[in-house]
Amino acid sequence: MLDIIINPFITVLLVLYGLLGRNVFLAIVGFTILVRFALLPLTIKQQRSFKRMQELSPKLRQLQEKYKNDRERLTQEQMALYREHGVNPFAGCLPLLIQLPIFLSLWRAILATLASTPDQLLELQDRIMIGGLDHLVPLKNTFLWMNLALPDQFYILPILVVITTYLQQKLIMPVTPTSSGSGNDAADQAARMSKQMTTFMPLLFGFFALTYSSGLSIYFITSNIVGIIQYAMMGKADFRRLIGREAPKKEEKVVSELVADNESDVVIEAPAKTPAKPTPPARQPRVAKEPVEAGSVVSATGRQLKPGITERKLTGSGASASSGNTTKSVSKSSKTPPSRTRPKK
Amino acid sequence: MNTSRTSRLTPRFWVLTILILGGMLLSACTGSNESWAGVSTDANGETVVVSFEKQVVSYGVDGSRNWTYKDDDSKAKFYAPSLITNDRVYVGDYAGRVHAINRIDGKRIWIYEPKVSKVLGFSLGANDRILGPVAQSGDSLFFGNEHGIVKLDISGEQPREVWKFETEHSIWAQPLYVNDPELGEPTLFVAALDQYLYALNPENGEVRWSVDLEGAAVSSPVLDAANGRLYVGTLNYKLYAFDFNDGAKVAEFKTEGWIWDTPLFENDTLYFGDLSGYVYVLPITPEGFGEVWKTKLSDAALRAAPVLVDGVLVVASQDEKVYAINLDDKSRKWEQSVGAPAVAGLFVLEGEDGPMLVVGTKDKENLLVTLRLDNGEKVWSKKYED
Repeated sequence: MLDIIINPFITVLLVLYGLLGRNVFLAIVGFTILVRFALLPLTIKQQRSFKRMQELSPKLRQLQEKYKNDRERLTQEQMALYREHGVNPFAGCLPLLIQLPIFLSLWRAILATLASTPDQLLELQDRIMIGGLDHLVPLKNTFLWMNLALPDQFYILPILVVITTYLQQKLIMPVTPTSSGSGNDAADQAARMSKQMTTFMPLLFGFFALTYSSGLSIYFITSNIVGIIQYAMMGKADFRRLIGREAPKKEEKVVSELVADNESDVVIEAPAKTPAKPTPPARQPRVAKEPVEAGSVVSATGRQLKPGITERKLTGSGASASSGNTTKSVSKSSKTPPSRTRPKK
Repeated sequence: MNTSRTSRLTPRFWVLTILILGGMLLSACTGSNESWAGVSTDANGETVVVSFEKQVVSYGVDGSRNWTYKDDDSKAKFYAPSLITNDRVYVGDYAGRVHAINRIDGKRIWIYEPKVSKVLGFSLGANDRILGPVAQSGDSLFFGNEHGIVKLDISGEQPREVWKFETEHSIWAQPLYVNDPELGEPTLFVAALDQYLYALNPENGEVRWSVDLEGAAVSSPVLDAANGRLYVGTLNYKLYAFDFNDGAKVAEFKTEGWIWDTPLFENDTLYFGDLSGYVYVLPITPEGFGEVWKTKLSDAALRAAPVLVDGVLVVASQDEKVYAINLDDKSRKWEQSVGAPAVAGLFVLEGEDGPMLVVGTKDKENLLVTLRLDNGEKVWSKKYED
């Protein structure tokens, strides 16, 4: 089924090989860059979706905590939250799903064109879609010390694959805050999972680089480097993570901005790591005058909204709040009418 | 109840699951087979030797197993067809070594290991696979690998490397050694994936002439001694005729698909198939090639060269079938399914009831299938047994 993608890839790879002086290294690098940039719109879309989901994660954690014994209700509330903020929880997966067969095809195209085994060479004739390219087959597979059809016996490329995969994972992996002892297992698990992915993925790809053709290692390395550059250009790569530093509490700020911008009725109580700062007058929320039920939602006017959404404490600098206690405060200035539109970008 | 389920589905569980599934998917996408069985028979048609994965197996005409050869020390993989001589079997492996095996009992006589330079403890030139058969002339063996061609002196107890000739791409074809005084000096012909046909001095490996084939060549040329020509097929839809002495192009013939195997040359006629499923009967003329007869037998590849017995041309296809054609009227005599892509070669053995076909495949369950030549009925088959 993937042949629909693989065969054009093989043809383009052969054309590049012919154009770039029959240098298979340049052909693979050029082809990987082309494909990565062709997929850039999808990558951007995926990142945006991840960002939105990340921004909503404090609210989701609140819901999980509140409805931990009522899964059905939890699902309903989560969907309501997604609807309210115009977020499709699967939107981030779609670009990923589209990219997956493309990268698999790219992988197979490189293997097929190098034709390191008789089986691969036997299939190649029917895969070339343009006449006049057959004289280029099979690609000249030597470059520097390597036979690109075979694994690198010096282990230099596998090591580079591990390093670049680790760097990419480290730089772009979204920060997943832990629950800081608040008992939120989901957050802790997500954080641990991110960490383990950062460890296992480079090892997995290192294993592939050790096992398969060096040409694939060049693809991995190029793809990782291009990925890092793309994310850096999009402002998503956080190089401070390489030296063990985290970015400033951007997430909390983002959440508060999101909510403030969105003028949501939702009241948030985020787990606090830092004490709440004094609120600047301009952003100071109005306190609800009437007591409300724990766990209910209040609007700026103090009316009780849909139950099941936790309260929020807004500060001037972010949505930090005391842990465990419910602080009743309104979510927005009373001068601003309630809105359920998508968050502003 | 919820708690216990959550505790089982830990992050480690999910990470490992994703990685295992990803690994399986990627492995599946790269394909599992490296090659098909390397099949060869002796000159008398009494023995068939099959190289596949970790072993080399010798069978008699009745399908009885004579011996199994393995190299447990290195776990070497064998895909190259063997060279069967009177007393020995020579076969190359995927580690670049050549094994000399006693033809009678399958015991190892010696192993040639290529000398490998090392830099900082790392081997240079490792993975020097041998995919093609070895050629022999007296006390000399010639074989191709990933870097070119090697000559071994096998007159002593242990083989000794005499010279190496480097090419720009691998050599999968069996070298062709020609020693015919009427044609001139002994010459070694080598067709390479670097798209050249080389004529080498077998004494020292020096190039006598070389010619650009404009396409990779996977199989050795065939000699037409009467006309002083060599014929070689390429992966560029062409079959060439070259002058034996200087490599001058005599003629070329355009095909419908890539030509993989060495054409069969009998009675001034070339018989060959291509990867588009066509079979050709191409007569030789003093000027070059005569009028061709061709037919499309299948949509799948005809990788292996056909065999010709008593006016019947037999062709094996990747579509898992073997076809027999009466050359008199070009009618189809029979076709038979062998249950696996028949890409590994066709050979003729002298069975108890007359000539018998041996078909090599790339499927472990039907690695070797024998058919009656007269009607295509199966006689016996062998599967790969580790």
